[in-house]
Amino acid sequence: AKATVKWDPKNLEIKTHSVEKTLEPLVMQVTTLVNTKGPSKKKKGRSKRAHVLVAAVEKATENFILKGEEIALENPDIKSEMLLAVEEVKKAGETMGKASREFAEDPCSSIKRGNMVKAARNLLSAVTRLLILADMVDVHRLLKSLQVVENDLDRVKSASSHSELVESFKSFGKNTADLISQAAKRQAELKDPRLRDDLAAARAILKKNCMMLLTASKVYVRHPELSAAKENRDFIFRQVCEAVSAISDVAQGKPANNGLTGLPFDGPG
Amino acid sequence: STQFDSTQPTAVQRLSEPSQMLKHAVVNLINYQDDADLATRAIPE
Repeated sequence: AKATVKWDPKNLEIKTHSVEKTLEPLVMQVTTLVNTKGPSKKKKGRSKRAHVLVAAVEKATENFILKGEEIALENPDIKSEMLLAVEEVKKAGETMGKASREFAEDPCSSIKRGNMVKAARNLLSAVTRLLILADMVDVHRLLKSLQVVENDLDRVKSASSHSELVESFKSFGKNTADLISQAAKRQAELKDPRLRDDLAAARAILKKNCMMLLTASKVYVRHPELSAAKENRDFIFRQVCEAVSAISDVAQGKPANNGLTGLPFDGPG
Repeated sequence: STQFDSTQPTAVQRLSEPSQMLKHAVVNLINYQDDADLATRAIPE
């Protein structure tokens, strides 16, 4: 199956720690800007000239846009959505630049200050969308890696000789190690503890069953006439497939739905 | 190729630094506003 990513540009739900950590200080600062009512306790007279600060915001926005475009061009599957989000940042950045310059000309005007605050919030919103989309790029890569392992699994299952099996297993082993490492990164990122647990369980099953799959497959290839050998190989194969499918589910934000970790959370009584 | 180097930074990691820089730039503008507040109080609109 082709790895697909659905993106709702209106949905700003943040699912990973990285995006949250990156945004948190920005959200806090903009909130401070909006909420500040009384006199500030910060030391006065340490700021640079306003126009220099405005130029710095514009330069930083430009750098962010360039990086976003770079990532978009490297990922043709999500390029158009990504470029759309970059365009939104660009527009919000232009509005922010204009509002900041007007404010810098007349820093005592509360109306101009209000306009700049509004523009800063819109810019933050656009930055959030692009970061969430970048997170989806990472998910997409994980799904591609899953596809590679699924293809390898097909080859392992259809191997009819020892040499064919060993050859296909070499590729399966390497790609599975990559997948496990990527899934570990994702596990560390996820905010939802249940999804983290599902991913940890799937990784453990995958790791535990990989070598058993090779052993069981070797026996089956050597003794295809033994039904026990086939049953044994098929059982381990199913376990590995279910673990791969669980990683795929979690990567797409769904709880694993394959019975591996489907135990109820209800306590006794 | 469907394969990629697992050590390469993620897309979010690559955007992290520019986001932080943007944050600092916004913070600096906020600090400038402290001076503006002072001026506003000294010379009311």
